[in-house]
Amino acid sequence: MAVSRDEVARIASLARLELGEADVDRMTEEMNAVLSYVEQLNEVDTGGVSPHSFLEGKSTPLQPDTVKDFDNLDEALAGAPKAEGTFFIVPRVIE
Amino acid sequence: MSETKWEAVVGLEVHAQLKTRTKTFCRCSTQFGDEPNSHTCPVCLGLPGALPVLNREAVEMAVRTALAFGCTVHEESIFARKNYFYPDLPKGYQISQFEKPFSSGGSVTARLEDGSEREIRLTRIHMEEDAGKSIHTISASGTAVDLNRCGTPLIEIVSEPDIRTPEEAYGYLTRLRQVLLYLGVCDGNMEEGSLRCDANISVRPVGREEFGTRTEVKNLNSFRGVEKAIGYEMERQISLLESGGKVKQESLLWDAERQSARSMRSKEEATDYRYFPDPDLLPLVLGKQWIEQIRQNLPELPELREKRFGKQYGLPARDAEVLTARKEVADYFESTARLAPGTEPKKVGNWIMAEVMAAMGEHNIGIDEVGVNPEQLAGMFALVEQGTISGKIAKQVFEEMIASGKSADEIVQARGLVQISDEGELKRIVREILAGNQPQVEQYKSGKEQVFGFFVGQVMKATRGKANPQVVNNLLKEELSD
Amino acid sequence: MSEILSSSAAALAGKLSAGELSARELCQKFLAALEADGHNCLIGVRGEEALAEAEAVDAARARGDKLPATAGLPLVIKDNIVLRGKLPTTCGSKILHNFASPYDAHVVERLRQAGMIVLGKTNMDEFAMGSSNENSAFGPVKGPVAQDRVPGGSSGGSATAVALNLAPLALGSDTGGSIRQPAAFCGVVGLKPTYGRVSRYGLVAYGSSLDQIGPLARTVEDTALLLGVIAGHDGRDSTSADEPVPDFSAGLGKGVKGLKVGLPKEYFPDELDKNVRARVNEQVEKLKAGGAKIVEVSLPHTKYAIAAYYIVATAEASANLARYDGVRYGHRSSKAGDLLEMYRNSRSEGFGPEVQRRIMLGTYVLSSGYYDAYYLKAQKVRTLITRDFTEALGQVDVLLTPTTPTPAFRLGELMDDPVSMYLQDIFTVTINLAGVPAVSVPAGAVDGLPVGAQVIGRHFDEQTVLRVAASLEGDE
Repeated sequence: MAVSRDEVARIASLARLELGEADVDRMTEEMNAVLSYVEQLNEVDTGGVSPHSFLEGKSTPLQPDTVKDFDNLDEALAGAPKAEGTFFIVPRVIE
Repeated sequence: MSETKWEAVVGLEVHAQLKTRTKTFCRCSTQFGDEPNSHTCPVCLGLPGALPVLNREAVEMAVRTALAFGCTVHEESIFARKNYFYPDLPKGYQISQFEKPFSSGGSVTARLEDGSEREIRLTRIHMEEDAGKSIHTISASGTAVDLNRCGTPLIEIVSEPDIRTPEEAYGYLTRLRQVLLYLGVCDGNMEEGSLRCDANISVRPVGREEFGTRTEVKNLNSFRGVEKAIGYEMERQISLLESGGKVKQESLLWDAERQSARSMRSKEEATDYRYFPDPDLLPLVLGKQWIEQIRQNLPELPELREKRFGKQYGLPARDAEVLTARKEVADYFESTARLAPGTEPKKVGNWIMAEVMAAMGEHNIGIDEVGVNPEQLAGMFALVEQGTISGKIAKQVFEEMIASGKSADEIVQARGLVQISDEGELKRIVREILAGNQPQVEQYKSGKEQVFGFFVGQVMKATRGKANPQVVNNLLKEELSD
Repeated sequence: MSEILSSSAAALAGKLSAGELSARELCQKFLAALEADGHNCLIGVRGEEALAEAEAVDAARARGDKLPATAGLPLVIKDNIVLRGKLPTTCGSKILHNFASPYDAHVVERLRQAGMIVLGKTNMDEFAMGSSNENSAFGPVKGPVAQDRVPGGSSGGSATAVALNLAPLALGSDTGGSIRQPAAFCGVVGLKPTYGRVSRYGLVAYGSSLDQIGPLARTVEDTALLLGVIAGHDGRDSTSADEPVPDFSAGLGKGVKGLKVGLPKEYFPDELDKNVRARVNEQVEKLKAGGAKIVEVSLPHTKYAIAAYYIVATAEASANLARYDGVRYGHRSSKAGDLLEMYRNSRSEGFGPEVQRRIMLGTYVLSSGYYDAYYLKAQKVRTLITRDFTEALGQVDVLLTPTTPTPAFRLGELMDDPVSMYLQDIFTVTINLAGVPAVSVPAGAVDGLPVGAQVIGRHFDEQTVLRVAASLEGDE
């Protein structure tokens, strides 16, 4: 399966990356090199094989429903590139 | 010109916020209305390196809900990442369930206005975390993001496209909310967003099997709104199709003020959520024992309770429905009935539906806030049964109980409202009345028996309503026949 | 002075507890060495904070407090491990150049409890993506042996700092070989623990199902010492294992008599660099001489490991790196007229080319229509790879392989050829896919460039892995 320029542009948009024309060309080439390498997985017979092996037989831990406040909130919010009061501010969104 | 009869095919996706104290994957409070971003931490802020750990209570509430709707609860389910970018989604993905939700199947029984019922099947219920809030109107410099809500546990209840009319959708939502409230897992408030609904709507000619192209209507913030939006969208699609047009598959935003829907700009880009199992979490394994334990602890659900009320208390169907509509009211009724064994349950029910609910409606409060608890109400009934007060006086007493918080006993004593049943005293009053109204006595004796009521009224006036009417009747008859 | 700098952590701990050396003095010496570093090992140095912590240790010791054996030992940690304070945690990326973490990683808490002192944050391939340390927004690390050679990656700064005696110990992270490969290239010891052995809480995620934090040191004993500090269950990482933590140094010095060591034939292909093969064979001879039984085993799905790895790791990374959006912290582009522009420009300015490449690849393999063919297929192959290990390690106690197919390559040599660069990880990624522990231990040199031998063990059996590694180290 080879990836087309258009698809690369669509993927870049999904991933919120800004690729110029030349970047798209380069990325298409590089992705195709990797994708043609990974083609070899098709040689492997995976019939009946579980895709979740590393999770098998395990159970996610559960924590109690009791409040535990974070002790350093001010510093956590201080890194915001743009803020107003304690709100984070982003360019206006139109729904 | 067209004779085609159309029907709607509607599926609802309801998001219900679970009433846990803390968030789905961190220990921050789920408290509403506090300072923006004051209930956040590395996990729900999506800081580098932070990891999720699942809230046990959220799981329990979700399972409780699924069991209540007769869903199959799966012993193993998997959390997946749903990837999309939005400012109130800090990690760039929402932890949800996709391929392997914890529950599937089940149904909700919608009751329609004529009392008939429709079974709406559920596709699934899954768990996920809520996003934060983007507020577009508060700041001049852009959209403001508050992540206090981010990470609050949600269940998404997805129905099959079994709904055919707006009324059915309303009945479905009403029952859904009723059960959620019974279970104590959600406060069911659509205006505050603790219950949210999106509708997938298409239309087709009656009799056709396959579905038409559907639209998704969002921003529905009341049950009536859902009903209206479905009606609006049905009509829009029908007139579009009848005029030879085509329905475009899209997301629409319902505008409750204008009663119309418009396309959502932010949803224009084709979505591709790239779901995959979240490697930060292991499978959720629900032991059979735990599921069974949750099942054992389920409260009696409204449908069953309604039937039982009819049988056990001899209530008419309508009374049973009204009294079981809300769990607190049903509990209140049952407690009162139990504490007032001498009073007919129907009478207790009538009193609650008339007097107690009037008080709730008047102040827009819950039954717990009325100020008269079942014990106090039963105390009042006891006074009526003992003949201490009359039914008429009881209403007066009840109003004062609400206002003062005092018991019926206290009020009756303090205000001297005790019914006068003492024959000696009443005989004295009766004689006085008869003596002072000789012309009427003559009339009575000459056969004009309607005057009897006049004498009763006079006695009541003289006793300020406290005379026992039965005793007064007997005495009057006795005295007048002499 | 240089004697102190080149001392093992164990020896330094002895001097500290005997009062022959103060923590402050030790800290100062290493800080001075780090200041003079010409290899670009560090992204950030903690001068005053580190000294204050050292002084606190000295004061506690003077008071007669009972201190852990490690109290006062300095180390450096990879810059993808969050450390509370003003010093940023950058992950080697422009997008986090100004990110000051408001919280400590679990391992940092462990280090603090052990009285250890973090001197600085080491340079790395951006978001741990790379095998050469050339993908750092803060410039490449120059290899410790030859400046024109790469130190390996992505924990290149940690490996180089330890190799150059700029720190006795370091923490790195390993997703596909990022501790073991640079350890091999730099001639030091580096261990990737069993998945779940060390909490990932506070490790900036690359491939969450593969990432583990692990120690780098100049001796196996020091490696075991540092592993003992950081290992153990943590309730904040759902994948952290609730397994008992043994004394990792208990088996050191016991030799290998009676142990069965497997040589997976797929790791010794015909085209393997003959000098690398010779060095590893010398290690095999050592084990034989020590009384180990050597058997050939097979890990038949090895050749598919790189493909499976690059799909799984990039898929996870594409989601893990979505949080760098310029909203709450980190870089936001000045070209952010609307929301979409803010996202796209912040991310494209903030991420380097390799990171963007992997995000693209990961987004693609998860996207509608490709998920089954790539992601699901890769996860199934991963299951088969894991089974290979379970079977092989059912027959033997440990496996021995080369850590890398070649010694350190030249800076720039593979930069334009992603596939060849990815193939560098061929002997290490399988271990992450299977979740088992492995250590790279120096196995001599080829033309003056170090070569590493890799010892792989069963899940949670780091003890045996370290025991075998210890018998390989020293007097070649």
